[in-house]
Formats: sequence, C-alpha cells, structure tokens
Amino acid sequence: MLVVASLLVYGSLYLTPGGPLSFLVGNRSASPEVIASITAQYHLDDPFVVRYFAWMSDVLHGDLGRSLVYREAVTDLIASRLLTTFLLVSYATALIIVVGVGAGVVSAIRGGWAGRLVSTGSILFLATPAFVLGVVLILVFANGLGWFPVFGPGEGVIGRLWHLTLPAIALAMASAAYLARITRSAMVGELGREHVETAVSRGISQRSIIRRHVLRNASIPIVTVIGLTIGGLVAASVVVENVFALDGLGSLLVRAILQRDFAVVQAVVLLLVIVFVVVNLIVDLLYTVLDPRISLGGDS
Amino acid sequence: MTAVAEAGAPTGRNVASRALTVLGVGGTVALVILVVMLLSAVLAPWLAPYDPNYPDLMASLQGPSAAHPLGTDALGRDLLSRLMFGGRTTLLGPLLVIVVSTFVGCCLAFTASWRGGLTDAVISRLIEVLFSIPSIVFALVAVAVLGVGLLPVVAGLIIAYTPYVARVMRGAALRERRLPYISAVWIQGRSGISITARQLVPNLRPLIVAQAVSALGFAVVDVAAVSFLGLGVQPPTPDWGLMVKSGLDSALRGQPTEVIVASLAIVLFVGAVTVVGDRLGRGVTGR
Amino acid sequence: MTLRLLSIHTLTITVPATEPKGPRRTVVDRVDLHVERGESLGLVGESGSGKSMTARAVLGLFAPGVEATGRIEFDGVDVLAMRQPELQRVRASRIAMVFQDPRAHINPVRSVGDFMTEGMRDSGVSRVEAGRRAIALLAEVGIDDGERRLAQFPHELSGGLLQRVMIAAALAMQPDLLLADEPTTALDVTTQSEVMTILAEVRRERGLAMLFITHDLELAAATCDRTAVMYAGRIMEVQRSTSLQQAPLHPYTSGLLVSRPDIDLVQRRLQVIPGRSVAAFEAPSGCAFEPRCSYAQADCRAGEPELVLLGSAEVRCGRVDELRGTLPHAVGGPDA
Repeated sequence: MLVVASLLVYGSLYLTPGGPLSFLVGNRSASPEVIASITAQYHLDDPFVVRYFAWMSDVLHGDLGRSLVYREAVTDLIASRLLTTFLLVSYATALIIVVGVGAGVVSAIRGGWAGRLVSTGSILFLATPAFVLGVVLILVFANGLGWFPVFGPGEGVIGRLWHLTLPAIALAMASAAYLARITRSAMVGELGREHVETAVSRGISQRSIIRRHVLRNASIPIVTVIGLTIGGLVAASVVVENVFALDGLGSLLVRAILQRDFAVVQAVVLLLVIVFVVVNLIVDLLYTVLDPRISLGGDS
Repeated sequence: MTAVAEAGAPTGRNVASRALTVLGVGGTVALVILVVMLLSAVLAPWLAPYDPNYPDLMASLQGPSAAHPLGTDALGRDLLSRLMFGGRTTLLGPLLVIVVSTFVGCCLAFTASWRGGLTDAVISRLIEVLFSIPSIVFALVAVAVLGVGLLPVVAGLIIAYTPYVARVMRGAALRERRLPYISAVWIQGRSGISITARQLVPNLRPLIVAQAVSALGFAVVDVAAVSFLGLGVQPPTPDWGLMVKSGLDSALRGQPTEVIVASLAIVLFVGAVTVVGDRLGRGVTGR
Repeated sequence: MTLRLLSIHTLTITVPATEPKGPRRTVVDRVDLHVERGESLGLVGESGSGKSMTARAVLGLFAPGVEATGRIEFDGVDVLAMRQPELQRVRASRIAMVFQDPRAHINPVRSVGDFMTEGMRDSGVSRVEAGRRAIALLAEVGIDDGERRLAQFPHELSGGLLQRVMIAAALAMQPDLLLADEPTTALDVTTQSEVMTILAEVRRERGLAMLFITHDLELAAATCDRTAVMYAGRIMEVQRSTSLQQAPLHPYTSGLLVSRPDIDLVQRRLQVIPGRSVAAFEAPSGCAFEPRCSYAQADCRAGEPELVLLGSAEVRCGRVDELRGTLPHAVGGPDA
C-alpha cells in the first residue's frame, strides 16, 4: 500500500500542465546548464518507470534528492526540522489523550451538567480550526497576557516545551474534542451492556466496574480514533507551525510548494504518509491485545 | 425498510415541522444559521453595502460604527462586505468539494458493492490507499502541482474526501443489498443500475445527506486553513481564512475586529454544520 | 417460626411514563412471595408479567427510572432500604444471580478465569487461591479441564458450557439464595436438561435456596418445590408443584397446563388461551385475567379478587371455591 501511495506522490509531479521540466524550472533563469542538471537529477530523459524506480532506490538508500532552492541534501533539511515537529506532535498527542479521554469518561459517568458541558464544549472546539485557535491563543495569552512567547521554537528542553505549549494546545483541542465525544458515546454504550449488570449483581464496586468492564470494552473504538488522529497530526501540524513561526516540517513543506522545490515536497509528503501508515499498523496490533476475538491477519 | 415518503406539498409549515421533528430545536436553529450564511454568500453582490475590494485608507482599522457595522481592515475595506463575499470562497468552495466527492464516492461505492469480486477488490484497495493520506496533504500536493488558488485546493480536496464517502457508502450498500426487498426487485428482472437508482439511493439518502453535511464542516476548515497558509485563495480576494491571517496582523497592531469577525464566522458555520450533521445522523441510526 | 430466607411484601415496581407528564406505569403490582431456606420457588409468567423485574428487585438491581415500594426482607433485613455498602455486601456473598443469555452477560474481552475469580478477588482472596477455587467450582458443574478453560475466552465456549460457567461463578462466594432468570431459555432442550440437573445437584449439596424465573410452567413445576404463577404483575396462584400440576386452582394456570400438547394424544387444534397477555398498567379494573378467562362471570369485573389462603396454597380468583378441583390440568380434562 505504501508503494501505491509513493507512486501517487511521485506521479503527481508529471501531471503538471506544461510538463515537469517547465514546472521544475519555474521562474528561475533557464540556462542550458541548469536545464541539463535538472534533467539529470530527475532522470527526465528516461521512461517513467525507470525514473520511479531510480527514485525509490534512492529513497531506500536514504538519499532523498537535493533541494533546488537550498542546494542541500533533502535528508539534511528534514533531519534538522524533525525535532521540532516531533516534539510538537508528541506534546499534542499527550494533550489529546489526557483531555479527550478524561473529558469523555467524566461526562459519561457523571452525566447531568458535566455531560452537557462537555457536549457543548466539544462542539465548540470541534468547530474551531487549529489555525483559528492558534491565532486566538496568541492574541490572548501571548500578546495580551504575556504568559507565553509568541513566536519561535525556543532553546533547551524547558525552553522548547514552553514555546511549544500554545501550538500544542492549538493543534490538540479539535482532536481532543472529537475524542471526548467518541469516548463518551463508547462508554455510555458499554454502560448499558448486560455484562455490566452481571458485575453490579456481584457487588463489585463502581470504580472497578468502570475500569475493568466499561472502559476496557470501550477502548477499542477509542484507540481506533486515537490512531487515526495521531496519524493525521503531523500533517495538521503544518498549519500550526505556520501560525507560530516554528521551523518544523510544516513550514519547510509550505515554502517548498511555493517555490516548486519538488524533491522536498515529495520527500516530506512521503514521510507524512509513512507516519500515518505506521501509526495505524500499531493500532491494528493493539486491537489483538485489547479484543481477544480479533486475530492477527483477520477481520473481527 | 420504507422509502422516504412525501408528506404532501412542501408548504412553509410543513417544512418547518418536518425540520423540527428531525433536527430538534437546536438543530433547526443551526440549520437557520447555515441557510442565512449561505444565502448571504450567494447573494453578496446584491446584499453587501460596499465593494469588498475598495480600499479607503482614511477609514482603516476602525471598529464597528454606523457606516461600517463590523469595522474595517488595514486597507480600510468594509469588513461586513468582505465577510459576505468571503463566504463565496470559504463556503461555496467546500460545497463543491462535498457535492462532487459525494457523487463520485457513491458511484464508486455502489459499483464496488454491486459488482463485487475483482471490481470491489480494486476499488477497495484504492480507497484504502487514498485513505492513508491526510486531506491537507492532497490539497497541498494539488497546489504544488497546479499552482496556488482556490481551484487546485478544491480539486485536491475532492480526491481527498471521495474515499471517506466511498467507504461509508460501500458498507451501507453492502448491508442494504442483503435485504429481501432488493432480491425481490432483482427477480423481477430490473437492471443493476435501475435498482441502484430507484431503490438503493432513496433508502440510503438520509445516510448520504448526514454524511455529506458532517464532511462539509471538515472541508470548510481545510479550505480556510490552506488559504490561511497563503496557498489557496489569493489576496485581494476576500476569504475567511485569509481574513484571519490579515486580522492577526491588525490585531497585533491593536485592532482585533477583523480577526474576531472572521474567526467567529468560521466557528459559527462549522459548529452549526456539525450540529445539523449530528442530528441528521441520529435520525439515520434511529437513536 | 424460623425467619424466612426471603420475604417479599407488597412489592410494587413502576417505570417512567411514556408521555412527559403522564402517570408512571406499574409493572409489578403488590406482589407477596417468600422462599424458605433451601427451598426452590418457581416464578412463572409470560413476557410482560413482571417476573424478571421482581427477581432483579431482590438484588436491588433497577434500571434508571425504575422505582420500587414495599419490603424485600432477606434474612430479616429490608433490601430496598439498604445503603450501598451493605447492598454490595449482600450482592457479593449472600445472593447470587444467574442470567438468561450467558454470552451477553459475560464480558467477551476478558477470560473465563477472570470472570470466575472477579468476585473472589474483589473480596480479598489471592489470585492463586481464587484460581484454585474456580477450578474446583468448574468441576462441580461438570467441567473437568478447568485449568484450560480458565485461560479461554467466552467466544471459545458453547452456550451450554458458558451457562455452566455462569452457575459456577455464582456459587463462588457461597451464597444462600440463587436467583435464576430464565437460565435455560437460550439453550437447546438437551443442554437445558443438563443445566437443570447441575442446578439441582449443586443446590442439594449446598442447601441452596433458589428463585427460578421462567415462562415454562412445566419446567418450573418439574424442578421446583413450589410454583408461583404471575399475570399482569400480580400473583395469581402459589402452590406446591406436585399439587399444582394435578389440581390447579386458578383458570390461568389451568389454561397454561392444558395448552401443552400431549405426546400420546392426537389433537386437531391446540388449546390456547384467547387474547394476549397484558402488563400491569394495561390491566382492566377488576380481575386482570377476566377478559381471557373461560370461567369469567359478571362479578369478576366488579373488583380485583384478594389473594386467598387455602391450606399452604394461595389463589387470587373470585370463584376459587366453586372451581376448586374442577379445573383441567391436561388436554383430557380435570381427571385426565
């Protein structure tokens, strides 16, 4: 499946009107030497299949090509920005799980006003795109109250985390809201099941029941959503990085698109896809642990 | 399984009461909000008080006033007018995405579920692959290939959303196909296309609509986000995503009106769409 | 007189109204029942008669919105008045319940061993000891490879096996009373008799009392010491099972007995009780069974008959004295 995805990514270059060559040259001056080097780098004289395999083998050897704009190896470009993106996504993931599952569980158990609060709150946050939330956070907390720095990734571990707090919140809230709703409905669904009645009839404490029967059984849909969310988080971070002027993969991608630096675009997009696939693979593996009815390689 | 029945001529009262039963009070209010916003976008050329692109540097960065109910932006352009015109790209673009992706997705899903076998396998693989790529990426790649602007973004998102629709509808179609009434019509000798059009679609319509409405919210967010990045709609064309961006600059200079107005518009629309989509979805599952 | 193990007095259970401002609906109407130590009472009724709710009420198991009044005295203490901690103690070690559909009532993602030992571990028994006891319990219900079974998951076991597991688990904390809510309804007939045999053995060995809920009058009368018949949320008849089968005192009981086809007799049409059963809140004033009763008279509509004591039996029928001894218990008639 990865193969097909990479094929698509690679192939889309050739969809440009006017042919890939003119696209790659773009607005730059087109001296014969430049054209020749581009042609050589992208194997534009060879048939498509050959080109594709050449690219793939380069990738597998760790060579993602050279950036036309920066004149560096793409691999280096990515590596230097990986840390910021990684920290941001991890930070946001932690927030999503803690806030999302927490709010969902609380609202499912308490019901009443807590349930309604979480319901309305989650619709509100679901409707707020990450970039809007980011902007609001900047204006209120950074600019207005001065609690957090406005732009930049910061230095040192603590400094970085400090700088990344607002971006992480902006990135996390919409997904947290979605997760809260899913968690809540999954838990409410489980609370009504017969095996819960059995546990109650045995005098088991409410807390134990929630933990061992309700939450455990509800975890399957919850984990699914967490997996899908994380998989898409790296891509979503593109926007947030732009808002907060962070030098992660996102800003690299955006600039590469604007400047038609296609090797970079291809590499970053490929990376995004790989992350998504890997995360979902992990989720699939988790299923087999969580639900003994599911066996590896089969559908439940 | 009953097909959706027509409850007589759609008079005003009829429609209203149908809406209230299906959507509930909250849902109906949300629907009204949606309709108002969409109408003002469509009718902007006639409803807007000012030309959205007309700069009036004397009146720049003003708050709400009698002359400009929502204030002005950094170039002195009336925000209310820009908001209304902005709806055209921010709302109508995603609408196009949803309409096309729903149509294509349904076609793919019905073909796959009806034909089964190799066709189904191929289409399902395709869906899975496309699924593994986040929607923003499609939009970005489309922009990379076709250049900046609204159309590339729309094109990219159409490709991104089609697999979602196809997946849901394929599952639903497969379930529906097993029901006896389909076999009954099949035995009568009707063709696959006829059955799909006349039986399957009307019965799955509530699901299709609920699904599409929910997806509309995501599409709006995606389009606005790409515009915010500067890769979608280009200035000076008004667009809510762009307005949030320029509004940020204005706010940092002390005038928060633009960013507040644009942000609220987005949140309000997506929120209303989510509520309506929710209620419709509930109607489908019958909870 | 020794204290009865279970004594239900005037139990009335209501559920929320269908309309927002409407009256609550009664599903169990002033029920009186008792179970002595070590005896088994069968509670028979059609769906909607309120029998399941009555059983659940003994454990204080109420769905949201359900309310109950009356007294349920277990070993002298009113269950309905208990606070949560005390109720949990009773549920954990004094009364146990076996449910109808074991697949739905056992958590599918946890192992059989986990299900069996949960109650014990919650009470402080060590994991190892609990496992040991679980294996012994499984052996008691006829499952010999207990160790292997403990590691398995519910979906790997057949329905009959799973129900035995449920019974074994119910015995884990040595309860005094077993509530069985249609334990064999979801099983095929052969498995049904196996499970019933196990229940009888287990009860005998432990001197366990049982309240057995079922819609199958024949099953209840064949396996329980006494049988109670419920209709429209009310008790219609309670008798020793042997005499109930020979000489029913209530037209409804008679109707149920007569509608069983006889394997030796050729019947052109099966006997049925005309009409359909109703819940308490749908019942007419006067005798609830009157609309369907072949012995009904004008007086039967006038007022609801009282529960009358006849020796050790109880009957709720206005014409009990006249009809006594004349009601058929089989297709052939009262003397068949």
